[in-house]
Amino acid sequence: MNNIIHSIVSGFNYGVIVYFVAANAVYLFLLFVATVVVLRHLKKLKYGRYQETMQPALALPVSVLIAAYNEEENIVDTVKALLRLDYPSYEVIVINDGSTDSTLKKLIEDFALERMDLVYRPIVHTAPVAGFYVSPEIPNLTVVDKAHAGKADSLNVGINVSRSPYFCSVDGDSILEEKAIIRLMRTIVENPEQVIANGGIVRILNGSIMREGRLEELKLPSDSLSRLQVVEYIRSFLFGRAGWSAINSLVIISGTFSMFQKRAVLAVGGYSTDTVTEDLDLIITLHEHMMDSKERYRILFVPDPICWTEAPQTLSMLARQRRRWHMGLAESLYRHRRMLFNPKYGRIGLIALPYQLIIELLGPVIEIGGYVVVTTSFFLGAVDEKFFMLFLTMAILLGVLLSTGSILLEEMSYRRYPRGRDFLLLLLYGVLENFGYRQINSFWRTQAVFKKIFRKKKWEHVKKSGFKWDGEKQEKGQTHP
Amino acid sequence: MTRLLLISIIALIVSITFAIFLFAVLRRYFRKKAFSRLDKSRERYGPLVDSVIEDPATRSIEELRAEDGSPDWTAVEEALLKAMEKARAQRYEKIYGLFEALGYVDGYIERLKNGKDWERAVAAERLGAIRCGRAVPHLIEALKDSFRDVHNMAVYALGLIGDDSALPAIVESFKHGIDDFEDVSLRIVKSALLSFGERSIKVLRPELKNPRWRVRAAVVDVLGELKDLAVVEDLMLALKDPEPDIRAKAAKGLGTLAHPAAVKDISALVDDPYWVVRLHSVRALGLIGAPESVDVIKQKLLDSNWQVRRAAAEALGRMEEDALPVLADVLMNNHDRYAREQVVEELERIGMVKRLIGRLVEKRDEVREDAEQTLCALIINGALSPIINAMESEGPEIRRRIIEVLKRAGGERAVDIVRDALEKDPDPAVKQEAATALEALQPR
Repeated sequence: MNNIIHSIVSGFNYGVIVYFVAANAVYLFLLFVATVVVLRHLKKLKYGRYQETMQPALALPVSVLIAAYNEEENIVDTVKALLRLDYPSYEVIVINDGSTDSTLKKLIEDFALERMDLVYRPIVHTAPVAGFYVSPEIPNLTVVDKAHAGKADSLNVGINVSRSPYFCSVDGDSILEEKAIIRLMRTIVENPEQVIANGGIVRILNGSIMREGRLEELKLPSDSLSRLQVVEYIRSFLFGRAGWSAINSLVIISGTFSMFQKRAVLAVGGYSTDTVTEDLDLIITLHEHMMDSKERYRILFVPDPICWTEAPQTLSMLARQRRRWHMGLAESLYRHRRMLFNPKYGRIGLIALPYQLIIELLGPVIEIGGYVVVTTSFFLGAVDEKFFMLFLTMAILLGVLLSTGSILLEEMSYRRYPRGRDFLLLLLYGVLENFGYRQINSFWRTQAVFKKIFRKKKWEHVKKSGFKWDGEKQEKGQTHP
Repeated sequence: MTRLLLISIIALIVSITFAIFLFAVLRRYFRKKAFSRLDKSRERYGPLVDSVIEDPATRSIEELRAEDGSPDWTAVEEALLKAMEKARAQRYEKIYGLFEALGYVDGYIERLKNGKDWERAVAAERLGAIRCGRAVPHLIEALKDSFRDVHNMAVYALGLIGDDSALPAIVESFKHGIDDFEDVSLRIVKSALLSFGERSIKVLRPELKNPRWRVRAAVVDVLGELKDLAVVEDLMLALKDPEPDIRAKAAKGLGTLAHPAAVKDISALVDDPYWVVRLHSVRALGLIGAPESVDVIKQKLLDSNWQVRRAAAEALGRMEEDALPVLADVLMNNHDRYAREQVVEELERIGMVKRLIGRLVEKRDEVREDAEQTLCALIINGALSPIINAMESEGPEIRRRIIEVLKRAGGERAVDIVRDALEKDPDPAVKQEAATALEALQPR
């Protein structure tokens, strides 16, 4: 019996090492590819001004959709920022998803909205719409009030109301840069026949100063949790998505800011309302649909820092968010299981989705299992010091290398934190995130896997605290130093 | 695994991490120095460039000469490009002369011919930005470049320069883009053609007879966007093309031109078997706004396709007062619920309901009565939001009149509004009117 247990433990220990070697090899490959992609993209920006001087008549109209549920803290600033976007032809549609706070009231008051009886045509089936609000002064703003049915349902309402061939989903707690749509539309304008979706980089806004819906001064947050998330976002967006996009196998575009061809999304019936991560599910569904219909298409990541969002500032909120994301990943992979390891779906079926399954979904379980079993084995003498050191090297030391590598890539590319102190802090947190933060993240994600297995599906709403405003200085009419 | 191998792996990873740290810090340090040098150059050359442009007699051009690739070179280039962006036509020549004299133009052309991929694309963009006429043959040559971005930038630059000799090559590029959009962006080529304005018509016109319908459709699209009356006849001919996409684009173009001569031919297309053609025809009629097309558009409120119905309502809404009797008639007499709903939406969108509410206190009886009648029909068809808004914001006389209209219209929601007025309205006359109305509205 002891021998059997020993064999199982030993097998698991070696399995953990194999997992870490494989995962890190993929990450290093992605970091390499992303470096090439991002640097190429930056070169391209040198002659990117043409986009801004193109004939406005040829700009493809875009509907910007914001699903807002209890976003009273941020919604007005978000909409103000959206109304200032530098794009010749766009409309903003805010969908109030039955908020129980004053989200709708604030919108009505701040934008002098009036109720209007518009005809609602549910091309995609949705929850009932309660009313439409428009402003005679702001003709490109429409607010739709509806019964609470989740973000996906709200976005589907937005698609139904939208009058443009492209729509862009933006979170209610996010701020877009003025050129955001132009930059995102560039890849579409250059290849409208093939590009059916794309997304940009989302960055963390915590700690920065906002004024009138604009990012006034970008600063690193003062709290450690937000700083760790800043590093994590840089790693995730810069090398994760840029790398996958380069090999046309992107399956995740952040729902915080993404652009879609409406025709393609309508063809798949809009967002799925029975998953907690509708953005991920939509992308996989689009891949499936396009491959099934044998159409040539592209889903791209545009490596431009264009959307700023608020990150959870407490561990409990962060835990909820991460569990929700992970449960969504599990759900989407389960829903699209016929694509997994299926040669019919090419790189998506054979590489991207298996990566999501093995490295992203199950990886945290193996990782947490590894920390427990390998460490226990070491202290019980079942594995030697060399094995344990190899485990730590693979689990932690390579993580430090990847984090600092990402920050170097950020430094070589966008350099959004110009202050030397912020840069050094980023590097420091790039090291620190591998000692506790990554592990606790993996723990939450492991919890999500088990919750999913035991069918405990419950939406975990993440409460955020609102943008930081330079209120006092604003009142005094001073500019921030 | 030997201990030595393990230590070597750890040492390697730690060394690489440390190297990244060091490289990042050093890079930041040197970049900061380089940017600081560039900032100094910008500070120096920004005003200097301006003064050389303003007053070439006292300032020597030699003061701006710098070594290719140096911070000074970049600063002068930036200042000149900025000046070019802001400059009016008469100063272009002067600024362009500086680009030539300082060697930038030769540098760009050299890079366009022999540079790396990115350098060629940047060079093409710069040559366009400075409107370099002598670069046209090189840019035309660059249309054959295998690197897509060079092709795109060359087309873009040729559009900016606007030299007619480039037009045939751009049209070829356009036709090529229709077949293979991976080689060039069709939108950039269209944008370039539009930059030429009416001069592009003569090279595009022969393509209207191109046997490939995709080419004809793309050409009709560009001609429509040109917004030039010289293309009216071409577009009217295209209305008869066997391809629905071409007919739709031709109608769209004629709508943009708002040419009344096209009303008859476009009206013939509102019953086209293809809904996209009907949609663009109805929109075009709305844009032209000829009163004689009101009845034709009205019929389209009953189209089988909801987008055509919406376009018809929008088209009538655009005609505002001219179409109001027709829209009111649809509200009162049409049996099609979708058509009535669409009219309600449009009348609210264009602010007509608000105007009608204002007319409730109009002195001329026939105007007031028409307004009352239309509002009554609107209320019956669900246009209650502007009524509720008006009960909160308008004066007592209008509020009283609204209650009269609500009494005529009837319905549960009308009762709610009247009851609300009875309970909350501060004006006694409005309250009195509400009490009377409520009595009449309540089921006996």
